[in-house]
Parts: sequence; structure tokens; C-alpha cells
Amino acid sequence: MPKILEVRELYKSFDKLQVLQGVSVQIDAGEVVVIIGPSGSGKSTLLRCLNYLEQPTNGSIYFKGELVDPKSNLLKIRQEMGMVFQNFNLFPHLKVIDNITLAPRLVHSTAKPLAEKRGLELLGQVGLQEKARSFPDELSGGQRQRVAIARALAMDPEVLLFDEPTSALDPEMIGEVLEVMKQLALEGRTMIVVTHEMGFAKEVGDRVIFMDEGVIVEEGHPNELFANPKQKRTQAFLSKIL
Amino acid sequence: MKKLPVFILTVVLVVAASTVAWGAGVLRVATEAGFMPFEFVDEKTGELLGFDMELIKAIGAELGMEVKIDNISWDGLIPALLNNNYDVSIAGITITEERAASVNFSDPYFESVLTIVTKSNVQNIASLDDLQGKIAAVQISTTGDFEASDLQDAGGLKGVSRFDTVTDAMQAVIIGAADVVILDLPVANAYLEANPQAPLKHVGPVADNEFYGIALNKKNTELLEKINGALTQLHENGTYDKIYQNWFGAQ
Amino acid sequence: MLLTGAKLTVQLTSIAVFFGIILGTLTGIARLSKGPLRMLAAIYIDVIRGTPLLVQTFIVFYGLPSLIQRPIPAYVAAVLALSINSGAYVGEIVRSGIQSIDKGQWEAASSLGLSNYQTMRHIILPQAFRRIIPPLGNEFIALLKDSSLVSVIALEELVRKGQIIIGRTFRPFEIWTAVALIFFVMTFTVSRLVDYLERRMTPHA
Repeated sequence: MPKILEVRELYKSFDKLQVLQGVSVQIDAGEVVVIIGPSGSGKSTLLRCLNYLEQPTNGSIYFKGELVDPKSNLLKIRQEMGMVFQNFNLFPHLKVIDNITLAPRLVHSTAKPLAEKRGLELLGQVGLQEKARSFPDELSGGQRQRVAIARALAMDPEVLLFDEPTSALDPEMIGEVLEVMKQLALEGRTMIVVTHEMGFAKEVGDRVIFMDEGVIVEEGHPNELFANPKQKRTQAFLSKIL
Repeated sequence: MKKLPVFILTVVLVVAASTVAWGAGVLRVATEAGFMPFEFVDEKTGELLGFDMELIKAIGAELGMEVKIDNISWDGLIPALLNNNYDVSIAGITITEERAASVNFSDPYFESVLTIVTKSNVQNIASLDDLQGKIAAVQISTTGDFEASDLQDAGGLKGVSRFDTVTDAMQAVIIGAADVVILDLPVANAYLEANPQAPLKHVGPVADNEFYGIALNKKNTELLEKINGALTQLHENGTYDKIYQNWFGAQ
Repeated sequence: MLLTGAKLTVQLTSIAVFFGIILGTLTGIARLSKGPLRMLAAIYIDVIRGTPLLVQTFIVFYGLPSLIQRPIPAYVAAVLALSINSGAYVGEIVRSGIQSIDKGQWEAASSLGLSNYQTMRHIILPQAFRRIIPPLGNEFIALLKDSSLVSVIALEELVRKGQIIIGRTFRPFEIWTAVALIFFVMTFTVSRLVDYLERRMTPHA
């Protein structure tokens, strides 16, 4: 499978706090990679560095073989990397359908009817077609996150980044979001998912990466990593959450 | 409810203060000291000077009263009388029928003559008939203001710009925002003498005369009579002429 | 006669608020930018907020003409002074309005590939404006009242009309009461309008 994303020796620090300390990783097209690890391990920061929401202190990122350069091609690269946030970050002043069509219309200059047609399709895909004319704060948390996923999909991204997409949800709503994500995985989309949902990692992930203290401690196929963690830190972490 | 004691205190103080001021031999005078040479503040000493000031002190002396003058805003002159905060207002106030419906005026103590101030290089303005299409700057609510307003109503003037002070009105002509200032001749003289570098001149007396009076609360008729008596006395004993010469030279 | 003054008051204030909002929005954004504009905006806001409107009005009317070598009509000078003044206050309102918008909104817009300008225009400002309607309304009301200061350059707005009538009639109490009443009607209307706008712009409540 072709390489779509490559991270080389990535470092990131906030003031004196070293969050990423030399992370290298490759992602293949169509792969579903799940990043796990204790809080503060740097997994969200890694994800946010991929589309430069955080600027890495050092190291380089290649997207489809091209160096990500914050000056020249950032907007284009962000368009091709959809992101789903823990807190949804829907645009509260826009209706659901406008949340989804805004970026295609502005960035791709897609005509409104066309964008809306596509938007309704995506809403159908996440099971919320009837909410198109609602405002975000009329939706439940789970529904909002599904809209956020549809919004990310509307730009037809090649990679989807999920930053703890279910962490802010009530337990009974987690399932509906994971179900949508699972469908996306089945469609063959490239996904990088930071999550605490080990069930999802096991069932859907092609590869699991365990991070701790700013480095990748261990990675492997979920069956292997969950059953036979090789590193002590991995073992300790897994024994705590499983 | 914290404010209640403060309020009561304020009321008590105000009442106390006004009682003190009501003491017999004090004449409480309000003026607006922006009308040289009738009333103005001495730049060095901060003292209130001018024709009106000297006149009202002479009246006080005639009546055997102590004169206390406060410099307040023009807008405050009449409310202050209606409230009884002051006994009289003297500030180059023109006597008009309309105003006389609200306050009493003393006998006229000054006959005012208007003039027109223009830029020094203006040649074609000599009288009020030459102001068609012009804009006049005036000090608000002065004789000049009334004359200009009448002139505008009659179509003899394009517009009237009303300023708070004579200085602002003069400045408006200097910067070209107005063509002329219409004002009392003595006031124009005083300004031009005090500001010889200003590129302005006046055209001498124009139009008819107006009279200044001392304003009083309508209820205060007793004081009105006393003041009129004092004015007559000052004319008879020559004090008035002395004060006049002091400020305007020969009569 | 008072009503023609009130008309001028409303006119001056409305125009000034209109330009004030444009100027203030630019200033507010500049305040949050990087580089020399940020500094410039900060100086503008500090100078205007740190000096009386009365003085600003005098400077525009009496000072500016000698600078540009031609007279400025009082009306233009008043609109200029009021707009510049209002722009500084609105600038601070806009800045705090923008800052009150959750950082996640920026991130979400960026992650979709929107440029900074697009994000500001379509995501941040619409939300910020909804939030700043109440303080903006207060600014409108404050300016409505403060606009009486331009009477010093001979503009006959409501207060000055009142003064003129009083100067003729010597009937201060009646006239000032009428002036106050008209001001109240104007400010009350504005505050109701602001309430209405705020309710309308909140999508549902």
C-alpha cells in the first residue's frame, strides 16, 4: 500500500514542557491507525501537529510525499486532512447543513445546490438527514459529533484525524459515533484515531500505536499488541484500562 | 439603602448653605465671564473683571450689600435665578419681550451697538445689508445671535453658526468656516485689542441698538426696585460715567 | 424646533456609529494581529480613549483645516470626530468579542482549509457580532448623548436647540425637560431595538 503520511523525528515543546520527543511514524493509504496512551503522553499533540494546528518545534511531515510547509501549502493540505475534535467545534451560528457546506462552498467554490445535495448525502450517511435545518445546540452530543464527521467528509479528505472523538460524550452516545467511524473504516478510508476506546481499536484498527512521555513506545496489530505487549510500559498501561 | 444617609446629609448641607447665603447684606450675583469687556476672568489673578462687574459692585455699595459674584455657565444664569440660588444675573443680557415673560429686568444699564467682524482683507461688507449668501458666526443667545437669526429669517443671510464663546466664533471666521461674526461693538473692540495678530477687523457700528438689563426672579420685586433706585443714583452721582469711561473710553 | 435638533442628533450618531463599527472592526482585528498594525491600533485606541471628545472635536474643526489648508464644514468635522471617537471604543468591544470566541472555532475552520480571512469573515465575526450587540448598543446610546458635545462647533443638535430656545425665552425648566424626554425616547428606542436584534440573532431561544 502506498505511503500517504510520513512523520520524521517530530519534536514539540510548549515553553519548557517537552511534549513530543522524536516521533517517527508512517501511515499507509487506507490504514486505520489507533493511537492510545495515558493522558499527557503527547498523542493529541502528535495528531494536531499533522495538520499544523500545532507547529512542531522540530522534525518534518510528508503528506503524499510532499513536505508540509506552513508557509506555502498548508491550506491545501488541511483541506485534504479532515479533523474531528473532542468538543465537536461545530459552528453554532450556522444550521447543520451550512456547517457542512460552508467549507466546500468557500474553499472549493462548489455551487450551493451541489454542496447541499452532497451535504444531505453525508448527513444521510451519519443518519441525521432530518436534522439538516437544525442548529447545533438543538442536537445531542452524539448527533453533534456525527455532524462534525459529516462536515469533515464534505471536503473529501484523504486522511481523517480523530482527536478523542468520544471523550466528551455521555456513555449512551458513544456507540452511535463509533458505529459511524466503523463504517468509514469499512469504506477503506485512511484514519488516524486518538482514543481511549480499546474495543474500537481492537475491532477496527489495522495498527495500534502506544505512546507515552512523548515517544512511541510500541506499535503493532491490535490482536498482537493487546494480547502480547512487549514493553513494560505498555503492559502497565493496558493492565490498568483493560 | 446605603445612599439614604448620604442623601439626607446632602439635603441638610444644601439647606444650611443656602440659609447662610440668605444672610441679610449679601447680594448673590451670577455671571458668565466669557464676554469681554463686560465680564471676563483676569488671566493672571483669576479675578472677575469688566464693566458689568464694576457696575454691580457699585450697585452693591450703593445698597450697602456685600457683593458675591460666581462665574457660572450661560445656561445656568436663569435657572439659578428661578431657583433662588442667586439674587441677580448680570452678563450682558439683552432685554427682550420674550425673556421678560420669564424674568424681571432692571432698567436698561447699557445700550449696545452691533458690529460685523470680517477677515482683514474683505472689502465688500460694510453693513447688515451686505450679508446675503454669507454665513455668520455668533455667540449663542447674544444680541448678535438674535440679529443674525432675524436676518436669516428675512433671507439676508445664508446661515448662522452659534458658538459658546466669542473666541470660537472668531476662530470660525479665521479658519473659513464662517464669513463674519455679528456681535456687540465693545466686545469686538476688546477682542481685537487683546488679539492684535488675528487677521480680522470690524466695520464699525451697524444696525440698531439693544439694551442690557440685570435679570431677577419675578417674585423678587423688592430687590428690583432697590436696584433701579441704585442705578438712578449711580447715573446722577457720576459713578456710572466713570465706570463707562474706564471700559469704553469716551461716551 | 427641538425635533429638528433631535433629527440632527440621530443623524450624526447613526452615521458615526456606522463608520465607528467599520473602523472599530478593523481596529479590533488589527489589535489581535501581529506586526506594526497591532501597535498602530493600540496607539489609536489609547489616544482616543485617553482624551476628551470635546477636545477631539475642537482639534478636527479648528486644527485640521490649517493642516489641509481648507475649511472643513462643521457637519463633516462632527461626523469625523464622532466616528473616530466611536471607532476606538468599538475597537475594544470588537476585540473582546473576537477573543470571547472559543479557540476551537478557529481550529475547526482551519482544519477545513479556510484561510484566516475566511475564518474571520464567516466564522468568528458573525459569532462575535452577536455577542457584542449589547455593548455596541450601549456605545450607540452613549454616543447619542455625547453627540451633544458637537454643539461647540455650532452644530444645532438637540441640546443646542434647547439652549437657543432658552436663550430667547428664558424658560429653562420646560425646555430642558422636553430635551431630556426626547433623549429618553431616543435611547429607549435604541435599547429596545438592541434587545430585539439580540433575540433575533440568537438562532432560537
